[in-house]
Amino acid sequence: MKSPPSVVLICKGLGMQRVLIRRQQATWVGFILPCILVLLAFVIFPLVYSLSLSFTDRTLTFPTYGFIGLGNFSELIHSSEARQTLLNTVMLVLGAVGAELALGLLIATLLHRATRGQSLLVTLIAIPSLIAPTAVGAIWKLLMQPGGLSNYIIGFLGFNPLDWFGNPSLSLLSIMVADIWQWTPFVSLILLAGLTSIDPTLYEAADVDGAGPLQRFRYITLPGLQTTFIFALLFRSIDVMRFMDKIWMMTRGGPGISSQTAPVFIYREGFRFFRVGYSSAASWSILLMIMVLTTLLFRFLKDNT
Amino acid sequence: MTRYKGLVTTVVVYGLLALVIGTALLPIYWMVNTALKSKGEILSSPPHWIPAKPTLDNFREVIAGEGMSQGGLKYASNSLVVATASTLISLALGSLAAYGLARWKSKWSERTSMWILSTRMFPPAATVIPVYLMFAKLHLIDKHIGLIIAYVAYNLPFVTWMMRGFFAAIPAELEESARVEGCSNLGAFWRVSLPLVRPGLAVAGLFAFVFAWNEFLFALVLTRIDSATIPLQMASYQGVKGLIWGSMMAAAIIASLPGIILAFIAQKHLVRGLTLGAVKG
Repeated sequence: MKSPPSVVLICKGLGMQRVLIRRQQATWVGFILPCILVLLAFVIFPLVYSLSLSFTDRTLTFPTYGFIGLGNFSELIHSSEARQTLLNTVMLVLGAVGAELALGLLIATLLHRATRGQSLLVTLIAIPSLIAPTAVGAIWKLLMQPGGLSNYIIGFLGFNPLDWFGNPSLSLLSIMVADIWQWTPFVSLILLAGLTSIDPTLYEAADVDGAGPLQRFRYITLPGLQTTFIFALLFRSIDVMRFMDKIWMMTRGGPGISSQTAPVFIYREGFRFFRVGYSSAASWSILLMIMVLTTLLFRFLKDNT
Repeated sequence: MTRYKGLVTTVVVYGLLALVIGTALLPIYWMVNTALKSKGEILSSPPHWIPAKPTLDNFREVIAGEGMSQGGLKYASNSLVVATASTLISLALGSLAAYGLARWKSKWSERTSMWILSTRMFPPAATVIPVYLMFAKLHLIDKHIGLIIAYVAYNLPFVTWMMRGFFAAIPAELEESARVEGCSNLGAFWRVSLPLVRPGLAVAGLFAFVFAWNEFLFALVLTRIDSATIPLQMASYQGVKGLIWGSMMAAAIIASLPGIILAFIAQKHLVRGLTLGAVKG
């Protein structure tokens, strides 16, 4: 079926072009629609459903339940366990993301200098970020158990062995170490991409002006990396607030609740204590915090892509 | 003098990078090392850096399903089925959407893209309870199809964003001429544009596969025995008569393989893939 070019010309002549464009636009929407429907059904609807559950005392064990208004939310505010969970989550975000950004910046600078063999180095460094998070948890559980390799190395360096999983003040730190090991590579890779995009003539100009390495770092590298840096910060913070796999493998939130973060709390309330209403209220509380970070992230993406 | 200084810098840079790579790979080496040791040797003190008598017993135990509710490679094959099916479906739906978004010239196109991406940022812990209640009502618990649907929803935003970039890089004139030749919109997409983004499809597919293969929380909640996946097998070794480190590490190796292979195949696209295809890299 060939439509000769003259037909198109006639259409244009009759002022039909607009109609054609509008029909074309409807086609594009048709292409996008299946994707939107799946997301509406299996992401947005569940979230709305969860919001409605959060105002009820629904459990998985009793068939009857009722509307209790903001009861779940007020219970959350007054629960010392929920407060401890929030504190753990915030500490994990600050500690892990802070270390990942600092180490990532250092490694990115090194990689940027290593022009020979860079792609192989990048591949080897990237491996921790790609393997299954449950495997990461299993590996670090093995390394950090009382008679494990980490204590052997700690003893070799002349320190006392650490009881990573038995000591409540170390358990969250053990999760932090595993997360830093897993995600610093990823942060260094995006910072490396940021470094590569800085205009090299800026450095040449700085050399001409007699700037030292510290000044070049302060006045060219840091401002040039700002966008990438903030992206990595927000992206990693959101992820640290969401993951549960490594924690489940390493400590299950224990001992006590010393390494319990928001997702573990939500899972335990929902599927161990069967309080799905209360658990939904908790998930909406953390969801609102993540939404704030996501909005910031998107504002950033919009300005910088 | 400057040449000498340059040499020193190079030595320092590569020396430090060797240290970084050592730190990144030592835990992975230890996983392999432990998986190849016999039970008695695993907790030897001081630890053996190389297994005295390397054995595949741990892998045999994982395959035999010793101490597990399922034998054979049931967990791995469940992972394979679920990850493959969900990847194919999300590639199909995602590239259609990506193509539409790349060609649709309207302010709503950008807004829709952002909305699609935002659905990926929601914590899985927030959707897992309502999805569980929905699937329980639909009798989809412990069925492959349930987990496949969950992973399609999980991977769609990622695939759409990654493919949108690839489609945007193709000049629209190519499809215009195909349409003038009488191709339908779908025909132009299928015959002209899709073949041109084949490398993009491969990369997005690899990442989607690895994300589904690695996923834990939905697998934990939506499966029981019949369709449990590899991450669950690893987690359940914790419960079996103390910890069976050797088997756990053998399972961890099986679980890690797709990710390690991905690192080597998709070298150039690692940054893009890991940032949901959102940042140029």
